[in-house]
Amino acid sequence: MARKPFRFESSLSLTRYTGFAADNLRALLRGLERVPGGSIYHHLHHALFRRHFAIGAFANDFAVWCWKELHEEALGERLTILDPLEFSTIRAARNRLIEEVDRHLGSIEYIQHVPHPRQFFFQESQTFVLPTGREATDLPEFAAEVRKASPDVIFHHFVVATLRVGPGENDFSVWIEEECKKPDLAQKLRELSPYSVDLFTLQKRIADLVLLHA
Amino acid sequence: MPERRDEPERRDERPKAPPLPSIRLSAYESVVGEAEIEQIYTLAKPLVGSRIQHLSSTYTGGGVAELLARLVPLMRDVGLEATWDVITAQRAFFQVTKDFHNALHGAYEEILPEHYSTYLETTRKNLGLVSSVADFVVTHDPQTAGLVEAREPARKQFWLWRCHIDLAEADPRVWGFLRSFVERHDASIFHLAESGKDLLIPQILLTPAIDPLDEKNRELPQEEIEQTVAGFGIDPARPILLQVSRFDRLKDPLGVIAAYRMVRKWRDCQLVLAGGSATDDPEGEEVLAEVRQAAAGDPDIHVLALPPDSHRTINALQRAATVIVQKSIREGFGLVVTEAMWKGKPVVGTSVGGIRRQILSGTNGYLAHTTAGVAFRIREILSNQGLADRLGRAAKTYVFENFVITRYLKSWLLAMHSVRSGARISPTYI
Repeated sequence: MARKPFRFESSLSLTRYTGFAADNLRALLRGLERVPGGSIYHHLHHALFRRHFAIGAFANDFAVWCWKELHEEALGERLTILDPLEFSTIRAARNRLIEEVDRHLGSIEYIQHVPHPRQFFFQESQTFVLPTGREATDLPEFAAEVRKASPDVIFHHFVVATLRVGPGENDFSVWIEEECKKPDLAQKLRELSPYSVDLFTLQKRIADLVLLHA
Repeated sequence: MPERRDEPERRDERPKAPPLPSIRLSAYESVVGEAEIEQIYTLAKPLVGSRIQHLSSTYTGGGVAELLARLVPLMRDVGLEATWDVITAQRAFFQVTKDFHNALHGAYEEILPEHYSTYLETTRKNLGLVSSVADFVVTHDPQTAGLVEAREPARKQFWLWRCHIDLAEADPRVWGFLRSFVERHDASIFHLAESGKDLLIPQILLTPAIDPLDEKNRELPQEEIEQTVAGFGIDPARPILLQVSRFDRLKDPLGVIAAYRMVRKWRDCQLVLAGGSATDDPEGEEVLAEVRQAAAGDPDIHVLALPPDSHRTINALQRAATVIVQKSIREGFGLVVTEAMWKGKPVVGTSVGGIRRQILSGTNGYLAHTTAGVAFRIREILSNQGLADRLGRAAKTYVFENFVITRYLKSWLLAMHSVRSGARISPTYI
């Protein structure tokens, strides 16, 4: 029994168009340098929500655009492999993206332009955090709640938590380690990558793992 | 089927609001789950009692009216005092706004000074429609954007402009005129980023959705589907190509006939063009006549001009179809595509507007760029039942994950929280 219960919250996002659009790689670079941090966050992380059964592997929006619309496959591949959880700040992520795009621009002779509907439209997220009214005081209860939760709950506590609680960290692991005194389980959860499966599968894996070690 | 005859020559009297369906949010629990419903109630709680007035140009026909007919009752069910009012206007105003609509979609239209004066005059006559006690006023599309003239700076009221059309290639004259009204709102709402503009106010992105419990989308008995089809003289044993849309040049019904004729050289099939026209679209009759002329002499082309409340009929036609086509030249979002996908049908759509957002070509339907491309994809699907089944299954799942009405309501509540919080980016705690 934990001293402090785990209170489940969920976060919802409202997407907004920033007014910045890029029709070529140079314009993408300019955008990466200038758009609000919320836009970098949105395009790196929110692709997870737009993932679909049809898409085999996670790819952030920048990678997909370079690959699919500009047909810059080499750059697309390099951007695809970036792990959003590697960056503990938006600035770090922005700098890395700029570095990759800038380096690629230096290596190509021709800059491809695309028409309006195929442009990259920089968007940003406004985040709303709301209580779910659900809590858990021990691990079996915790596993049961995780299983019932909506993907927004998993996204909030497990995916973007890294921006609040530190690199490679998440709310679930912190609670399990500090309140339930199960450091091994906490570590096992840290090792799950949200970007290797979809949110529904991730949810199930977390619940299974917790139940196994409860 | 009776033909539509309710085109308003004049509309000097305030249109009578139709009874809105009685919809309870709890009814959707079986579709989207308990957690989703609880989340919506939590989001709505701080807004309970808020008055929100929607202003549009028509109660019937077209996607805007259909969406509002579902959204307003749901908003009421979660505790908002939601109302929906429609402007009073004469036919000349609707002709002007139709020209504006086409010009905003990028088509060439002769825009005269009289266009602007008609718009301003009708807007002025309708200013009294704006509620003085509403906390949120939402104007829908260009027709009602001008009502922001009624905004009083001293009154604590949030104004939103909901744009249902794609402004990407908007005629700068018309857009320049409208922009002055739009930027006096607190925020704008677009379906997609590519439909937006560089504006001084926030541009919220909110994709529309379908109601799975609506007459238009609910499951139907096979018997009823067959009876409906047979009632129109369509042979249920042969492949059916279907386009559902109002008779509008931007939906390219003549292009669909051309694509069907290309397919017919290879595969036996019938074509059904079904739709009506919105009361704010005076061009509809003219286009319908052109379509009938193009279809004349071919018993396998069925042109069905349906009344605006033919939801169940359209549902049956979509469920009976083998391939559903949406050959729009321009499109806002294209909810009719969403409806078709929800029914597990393979859809061939043109790569425009919101159709691009809905169809992942080759995965849950096909995108095409030309009449020949549409014909090619239809032929491919007609030749391969396995492919048709796979595309249809993927289409249904995609709609379930992204475009169901509860998600739309949730986004609206977020938009209201957003304008109340000053549209800041840092997390807002509800």
